[in-house]
Amino acid sequence: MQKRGQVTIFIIIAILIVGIAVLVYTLVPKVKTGTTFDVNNPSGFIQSCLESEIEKSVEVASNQGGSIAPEFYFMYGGDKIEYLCYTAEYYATCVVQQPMLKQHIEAEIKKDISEEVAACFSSLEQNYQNEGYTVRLDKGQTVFELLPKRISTRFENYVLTVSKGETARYDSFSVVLNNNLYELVSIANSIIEWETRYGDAETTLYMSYYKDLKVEKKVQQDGTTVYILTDRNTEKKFQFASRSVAWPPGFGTEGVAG
Amino acid sequence: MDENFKIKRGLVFWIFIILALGILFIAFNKPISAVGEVSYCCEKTEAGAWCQTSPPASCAGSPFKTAPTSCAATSYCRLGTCVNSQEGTCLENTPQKVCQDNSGVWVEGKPEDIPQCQLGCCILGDQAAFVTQTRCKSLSGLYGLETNFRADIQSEAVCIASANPQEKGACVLDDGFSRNCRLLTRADCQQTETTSGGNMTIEFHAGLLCSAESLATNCGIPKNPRTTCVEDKDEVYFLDTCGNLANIYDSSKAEDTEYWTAIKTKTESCGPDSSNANSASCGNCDYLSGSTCKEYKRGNSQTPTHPKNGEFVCADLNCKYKGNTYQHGETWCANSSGTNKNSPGSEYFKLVCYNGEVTVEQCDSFRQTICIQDDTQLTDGGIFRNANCRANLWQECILQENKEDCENIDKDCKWLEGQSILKDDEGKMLTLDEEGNLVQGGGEKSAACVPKYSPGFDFWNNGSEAEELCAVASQNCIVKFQKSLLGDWKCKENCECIGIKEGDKSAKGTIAATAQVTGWIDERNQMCLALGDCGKSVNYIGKIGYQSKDAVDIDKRINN
Repeated sequence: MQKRGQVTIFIIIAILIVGIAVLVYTLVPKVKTGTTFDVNNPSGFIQSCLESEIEKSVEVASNQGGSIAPEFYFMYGGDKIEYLCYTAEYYATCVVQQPMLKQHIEAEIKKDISEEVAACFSSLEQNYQNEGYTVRLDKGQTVFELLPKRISTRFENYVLTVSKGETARYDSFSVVLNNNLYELVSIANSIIEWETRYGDAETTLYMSYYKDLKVEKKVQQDGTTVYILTDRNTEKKFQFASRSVAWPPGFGTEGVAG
Repeated sequence: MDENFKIKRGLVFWIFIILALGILFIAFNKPISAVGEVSYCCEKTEAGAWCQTSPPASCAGSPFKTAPTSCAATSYCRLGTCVNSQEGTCLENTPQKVCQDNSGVWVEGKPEDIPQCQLGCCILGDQAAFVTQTRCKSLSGLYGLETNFRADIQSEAVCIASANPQEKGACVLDDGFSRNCRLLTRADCQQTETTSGGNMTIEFHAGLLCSAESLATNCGIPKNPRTTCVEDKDEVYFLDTCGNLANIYDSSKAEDTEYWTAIKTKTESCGPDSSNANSASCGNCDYLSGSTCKEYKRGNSQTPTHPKNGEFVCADLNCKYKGNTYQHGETWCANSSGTNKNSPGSEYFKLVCYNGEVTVEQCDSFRQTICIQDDTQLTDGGIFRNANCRANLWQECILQENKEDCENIDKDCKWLEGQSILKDDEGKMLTLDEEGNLVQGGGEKSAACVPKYSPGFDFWNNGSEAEELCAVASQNCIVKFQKSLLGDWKCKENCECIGIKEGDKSAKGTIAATAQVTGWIDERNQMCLALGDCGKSVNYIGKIGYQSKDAVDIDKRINN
């Protein structure tokens, strides 16, 4: 009987452990509020402090044709998708609206994360001060770059000097994300080239060349085409709109689109 | 017919001319719209678009410029090529201001005429890209390679073919105690030699695998061979005991020492002429043939077969769609319901199968483009479908006067016998002469050339062309009856319009009872439907249009 009781207790304990594990697993991401601070690894702090913010910003820009707050856009699936090439006329090829797409995206995201960058460095200083360090932070400039298969955010000329008996100097801060936005933007540029020349782009051409790429073309009633470029491995997207060689209802003599 | 239009042949002609001129005005960017309103070149529109020809009310105010002319004639919206001197890309049709405001270099003309935009072959390691020289420098820098730009190669196909895979082989690292090995290119092996600091003897054996017995390295043939996928490659590869890549997975050669000695090409490996999709024994996948290396997952339709060795197989990239199997890369046409009758709202679609997934591409709205499909017979007896959306060439149909011109290949028209749209100066339908031409005072038969795929109109919008265009098919048929002094009313003229013959009495002595839906009315309605979204019709989801009324009205008034 005593053995049976022990077995029952073990089973109850096991169930409790599993339950707690499940709770921790599901709740931990939600209760994680701060970023782990290690006095010897300020660079790691900046990486973990900014990573999710940069990811979020990249995702917003990717879903909106490369802009954080699109000015001239087409609403599709709840997203404001910026026109990268547009003509209001029928039968005419489009006029390029964003000729330097990569640089535009870099500038947009850099601007979008600027407050968070300041907040993270400020938080880093605060953490050192809380540990009794004397802190000096010389701020430089943020360089945000789309690169093949990655996105790099470098903090150039940021120098952190901390003293507590000994003095340590840190001048290498950067955040690198695995992301293929560079590749998707290159494809988007190529599609825009086709749109300006022929008013259309052949999606299968790109999918034949790049096996991990999905290109979707969604033609809308007003002649707008929404292109959705997706990396099949990561499911990351870049979507943009274009209106080129639009066909009118009938002969199209009633004028141009708004 | 409801309205008493007296549509004459001349009128039909002028309507067409006006519409055609409208298109020409739009196509050549004239600043005057078809309705006579002067269009402006807006530097920026209220909506935020740069350099658009729009009505003046759409233009954004100061500081943006507007001018009552086409954008091509303005200095601020001249179109040219924007050269991105950092990335080395060139985009045509870019306004000068938009380019310069974004730090680009604007050059008047097309990219092919601009030296910075001339394309050539950029060799990037064992790959190649057909790009500008600046782009080549940029890409080489990003990949840490020396710039190798070949301006003499002027074709993309030749460029890609010129990319040579770098020679690979076993790079043996001997530290005096053990002989380690890595499968590397000659250049990478030499690089290892320079970084090793001279403590090791390094040998490069071109074309040999690390598992080659003759090299006597500590890498060999595993008892239970593992396999892997390689980035940017299609095939499944064996791994040796050190984790180096070996040859393409072939279960029949898992223990064959010869197969683990020298590097084999794709054509020397198993199943070189097929995709090997779902093969448990061969990992010679080929993306263009419909397979690629993927990890086996139970329940995944792309990987139904577990490989004999390892966990990677050639996944099947063909698609299953509505009970049919489509090959990877195939495109085919599909229609919404109602396209057989060109019902309002019906549209054409192109479906695309890639990587096991079907995507839908809609052709342009209002049936202005249609989907066409061409099936290629394959040597194995199967077919490969190819589809695309192309322009619906319906615009000139109604002006054709004979069957031959109507059914010419450069138009999407059909010859419909029964009624004519073309009329003479008195509004009488033209009829066919002996040679089959529609003429005034021809024979008994009439015909019309109408769109094969009748276009849709935005008839629900104010200012839509629908009314104008549909009016072309409208026809009045005045049926005359005569009452004799003592007898009944007898039909005298156009009796066929109400389904009786000349001299026939009106039914029950009244004209009203005689007026009924006849073949003539049906034919006229068919004519309306053939022109576009005109006439009495049911839309693509089966809703009856025209507020359930007949498109043909019979006015039963008696004019004495």
